[in-house]
Amino acid sequence: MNDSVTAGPRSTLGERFKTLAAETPPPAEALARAQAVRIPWGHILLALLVTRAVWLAIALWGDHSYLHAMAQFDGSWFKGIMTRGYDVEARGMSDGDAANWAFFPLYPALLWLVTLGGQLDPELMGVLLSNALLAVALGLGCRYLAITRPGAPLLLFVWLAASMPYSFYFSALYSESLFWLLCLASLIDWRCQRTGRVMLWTLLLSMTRATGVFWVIAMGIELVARLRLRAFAELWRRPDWLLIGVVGPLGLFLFMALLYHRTGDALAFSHVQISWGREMGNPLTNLIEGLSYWQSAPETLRPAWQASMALIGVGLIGWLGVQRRWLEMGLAGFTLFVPLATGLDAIPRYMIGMPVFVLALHDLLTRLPRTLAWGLVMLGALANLWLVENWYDTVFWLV
Amino acid sequence: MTPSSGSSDALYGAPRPRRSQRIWWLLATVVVLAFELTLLWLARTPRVDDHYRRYFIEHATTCYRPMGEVPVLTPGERYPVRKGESLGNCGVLWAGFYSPQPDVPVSARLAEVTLRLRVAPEVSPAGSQAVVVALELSRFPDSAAALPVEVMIGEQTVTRWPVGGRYERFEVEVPAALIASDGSFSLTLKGPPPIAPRDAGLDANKFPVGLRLDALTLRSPLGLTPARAQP
Repeated sequence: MNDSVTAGPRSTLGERFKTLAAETPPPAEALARAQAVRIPWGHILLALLVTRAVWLAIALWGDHSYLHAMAQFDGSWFKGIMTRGYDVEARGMSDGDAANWAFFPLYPALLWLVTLGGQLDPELMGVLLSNALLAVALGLGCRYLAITRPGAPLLLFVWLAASMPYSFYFSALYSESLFWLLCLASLIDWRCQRTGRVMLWTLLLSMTRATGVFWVIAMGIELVARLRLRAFAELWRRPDWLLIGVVGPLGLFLFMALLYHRTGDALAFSHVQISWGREMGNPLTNLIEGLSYWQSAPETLRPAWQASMALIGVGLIGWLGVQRRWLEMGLAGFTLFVPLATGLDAIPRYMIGMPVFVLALHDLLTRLPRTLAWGLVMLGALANLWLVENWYDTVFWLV
Repeated sequence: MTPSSGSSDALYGAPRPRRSQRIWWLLATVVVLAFELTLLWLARTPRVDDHYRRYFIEHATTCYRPMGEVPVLTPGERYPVRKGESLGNCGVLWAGFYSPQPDVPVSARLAEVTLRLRVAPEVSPAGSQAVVVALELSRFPDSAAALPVEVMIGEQTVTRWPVGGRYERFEVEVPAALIASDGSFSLTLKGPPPIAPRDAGLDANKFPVGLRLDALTLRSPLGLTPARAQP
């Protein structure tokens, strides 16, 4: 009797979850959708021009140098790598313990290329580079939406990504826009099973940021979730998947080889994190401690706010899981929890730097009435203007 | 198609590599994997100096390298040992001490900590006269029972102090023979293992705290400053 009482709601809940499960197209279908989609390049350019023009106007209004502001904080580290390469020993910042080993090489290498080896203004070229990379990334994002979410409103995605809170990072001399491009390219080609390309994109991804390494782990999660134990047997029949598994992190290993040659420590990129106060701990403890600030010390907004953003990230990860988007869920999970284990700093930046979080947010917005969804995008764009103003004022919690 | 149904071909319907090609894929995998394993092995055996190892790898100290000059101490003056003070910088606290805030005494993350000190030439001209160093010292936490702390000047053990949780003033005479010609010497304290506040049930701080050093004073063995002792 009791069983029958409890079984009803359970099955209803299970059925509800099943209706939320996303359809994953077979590769041939994915390829056909990718080729059929009409990418709104005009809107992408318009969104970038409008939003960046507003940010520029705020800079001029406040008598700030737009280019200089976009090249501050991590941007200055990237410029340093571009001009003099990687440090041999730590000597930066007030305690003499900082070095540029924490910054991965692909973005500064591209910066070096577009400045013609440092001959052109790195701040101007860096801003142009980041925005050009974002434009391509948004195009790829539309293509990926067409593959995995047919009928999704592409314009909403474009304006959301171009204007949402923290989106100014995509204009800065930061590696976020490059990471977006490579991540979306590898997701598209994985869905289309163009495994050779996946190898190339994931290799470059792990040369861009440490979180790029998680792509292949997330791929493994998807394979196990969809094929169960057969995934392991399938690896023998699909050695190209196996090769993705080792080529994906190769970018990181090449960087490690470079650091070993320069400093004698292949893990210098990780060890130097202590200079920024980052030490490995328990991500849940950090999250709970941060949230407790709302109660114990609400005037200490920074950790409370960052922990709250992490909590939103946890919700978005769960949302991707409910939709059975395993690869995206795995990527989001690793991107949030590994940095969270080292502290709450820059958590919003880690989230915005991983496109699957924005895809999850977009999934939620598409379930709302159209006017409300666009209204929320507008609200986010306005909130971002406040963040932009703080960014120009070199507010440290936006690093 | 449901996400977890069907064969892998149905889900990932790309053609599998031919059997004859498979060996080349596997060979490439082995080569890349061998490179990565080599890097991991190299990562386990870094070629770095002691400063780097202690700071970046072992997290044994918050001072990477001695920075700045070791200040010359004036007899009779009380020196707070804190961040921002002359005795709170990495030039002095370079081994094992943690100096987080200007208004908090420095504390040790290691059981063994070292101070680099220097006396004025007139206090010990060419190392000809001993000096007395007084430390205001306690052990974490406040309720800690007194346990022996070994005091070393250079490599030589000179005394043992019973240090507990309450701040007390301890003095040690530094023999003239252990003072270098430029007036410098190092003072090492070997205490019981530090304990994290979290492990002591006090708060969530996970970083261990051992000895706490509040201030340091210097005087001559006669109890008078050399200036006053001179005829």
